[in-house]
Amino acid sequence: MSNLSDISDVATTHAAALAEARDANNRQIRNARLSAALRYVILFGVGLLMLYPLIWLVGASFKTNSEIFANPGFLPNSPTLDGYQKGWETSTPYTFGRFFLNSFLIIVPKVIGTAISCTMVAYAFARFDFPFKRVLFSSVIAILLLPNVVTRIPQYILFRDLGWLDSFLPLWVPSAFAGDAFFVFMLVQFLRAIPDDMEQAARVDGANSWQTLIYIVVPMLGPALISVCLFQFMWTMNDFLGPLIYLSSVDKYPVSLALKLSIDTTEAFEWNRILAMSVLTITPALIVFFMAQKYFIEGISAGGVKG
Amino acid sequence: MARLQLNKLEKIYGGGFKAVHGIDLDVQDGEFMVLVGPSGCAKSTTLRMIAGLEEVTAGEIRIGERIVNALPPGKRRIAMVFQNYALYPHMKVRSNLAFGLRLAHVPKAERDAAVDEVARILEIEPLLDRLPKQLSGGQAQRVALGRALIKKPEVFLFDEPLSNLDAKLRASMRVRITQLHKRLKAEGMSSTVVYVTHDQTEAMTMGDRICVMKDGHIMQVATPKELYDRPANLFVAGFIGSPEMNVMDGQISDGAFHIGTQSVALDAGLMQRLQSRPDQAAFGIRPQHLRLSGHDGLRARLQSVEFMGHEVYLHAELDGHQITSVATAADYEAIGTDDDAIHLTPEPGQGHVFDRHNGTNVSLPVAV
Ligand SMILES: Nc1ncnc2c1ncn2[C@@H]1O[C@H](COP(=O)(O)OP(=O)(O)OP(=O)(O)O)[C@@H](O)[C@H]1O
Ligand SMILES: [Mg+2]
Repeated sequence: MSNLSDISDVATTHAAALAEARDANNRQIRNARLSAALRYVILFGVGLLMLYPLIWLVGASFKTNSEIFANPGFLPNSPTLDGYQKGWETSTPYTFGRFFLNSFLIIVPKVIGTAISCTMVAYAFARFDFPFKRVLFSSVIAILLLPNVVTRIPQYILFRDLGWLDSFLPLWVPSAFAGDAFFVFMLVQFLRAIPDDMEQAARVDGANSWQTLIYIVVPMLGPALISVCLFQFMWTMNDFLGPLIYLSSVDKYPVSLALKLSIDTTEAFEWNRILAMSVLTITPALIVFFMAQKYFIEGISAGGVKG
Repeated sequence: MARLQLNKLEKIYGGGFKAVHGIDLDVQDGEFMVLVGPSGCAKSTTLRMIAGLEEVTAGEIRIGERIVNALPPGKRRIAMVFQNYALYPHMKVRSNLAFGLRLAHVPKAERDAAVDEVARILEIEPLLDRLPKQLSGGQAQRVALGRALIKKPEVFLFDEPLSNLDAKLRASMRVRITQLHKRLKAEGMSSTVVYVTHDQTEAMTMGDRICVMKDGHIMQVATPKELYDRPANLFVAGFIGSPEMNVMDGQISDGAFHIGTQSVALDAGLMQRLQSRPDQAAFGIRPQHLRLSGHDGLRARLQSVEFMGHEVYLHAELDGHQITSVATAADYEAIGTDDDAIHLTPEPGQGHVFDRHNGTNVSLPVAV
């Protein structure tokens, strides 16, 4: 008899323990969900805060000029493409398309020149021994730390004496000679993290230094090179000072200057046009960034090779 | 056909460190030469000089009749297999194999045929369209081997190709490489091999001859059996063979070797062979030749016993020397120990006498 009650005792405690465990489990799951929800709310809030100016910009570009100041929200009351149409015309003899074309005429050669020259220089620094290598590499780092403005005036005088003012040359040429120390440095660091066995294997396979560079090193550098191109693209797109200093005729202006132009020339600023053109200006950079995002992240996380 | 010769080959690294001290080595056509030695003895440096990946400081390298010192790696008609495979990560296996031929402007049809043949030999046909990161270690190493094979080089260079593989795979790859070498040789292809390893099992099982190196010097070049039976010096004696050869210091007098208060009779043959009588000598005997005996022989104090299946390793101490004896499990059972003390008898004809000053084996038979 006592035996039987023992057994039922055990059974009830067992069931109780089970229920308790289930409760604890559920509590845990609930807590986890709650904290996840909280986390997302906070992240979303902060993200919205940071993106708000951009969202507002896009919204405002569809407003009329008067509504921009009357309506603080970002949704336009009566959306209009007026800003885009008038803005595209500009107050100059050229349409905004011309300025976009100019921007790309500056960017494309510059990006290509940067990619090629920086790869070659980085390859030399990372893989070859040559006289004064240390001194030269230190000077690359020194240039990296030098504020940009310091070189503006000597550079201006140099390009003036070469007769290159009011042409794209001063914007292209420095980059085509690996003038951007930052990219050289970035690629050197990336290359140093890649073991050179593959390159040695290629040399045994009969490749010379150029073939090794093109067939082996460049493909392995891929992600880093994409980052370089992306950075250069965005920086050049946004570069204001360079074109401002070297370009004087309006027909050579890139979009960054053209935007400023529309502020200068009109008495009462047509803000909706300026905003509309600003939206267009940032679009290419956004598109390129999102297309290359995957490689970009791979490229800037240094040592991008796994075993 | 390609014989490989190193003459007074020397390497001084940038920092002034002398890694290779003027070595001479003659590898016959079709020979499988293994370079073996402890870490840092400049095996890789030597191999890389042969490959052309490291500049030669002095001396010459000949492949066949050509002095190749000044040739770039691609022109030396060599192929190399690296320890970590060094496959081109962005190319499919097929392109990895064909890369060398592509650079040499071999027509596509011929290239494809070569790839297929090599893939068949190495059984990597199903892998041809994979990327290196989709291969296991053993598969990657076979592809690396294929990349060497496809070039039909005069000399194959291997730098520890198996050390990244697990023990079982290593054993099977060892056999595969040896068979491949035999096959090439039988087909009349160039098949001179220089194979670097620090693993003496690999060295002993694969090499036609073995070159034992230490600190940038060659200690001995000989067949595996010769190295085992007649080590030229203490270093080789200690390096080759497992467990290590027992070495005991002492003096020779009256036809016996005296170790402390004990002595070992030296057989007449050995006495006759002695080239000199070093005042500080060492007696060397392999653990396999140090027999466990009942009461006579050298008395040693047993310290530990390792059971290895049908053999037993007895680790003991004899007059301050750590020694090892390999006995059969049956013998060990039968004879047993006498209060920690064991008696060991060297097998006649198996002992060596070394000069302690320079380590040379003074009991080698006169060279034949
Ligand atoms: N680039 C270098 N510069 C200076 N010294 C070097 C260089 N490469 C190797 N050494 C030195 O040369 C010696 C031989 O190196 P090596 O790589 O040939 O040894 P190893 O026998 O292949 O060793 P392991 O078995 O560890 O691979 C070592 O002492 C090493 O420190
Ligand atoms: Mg090595």
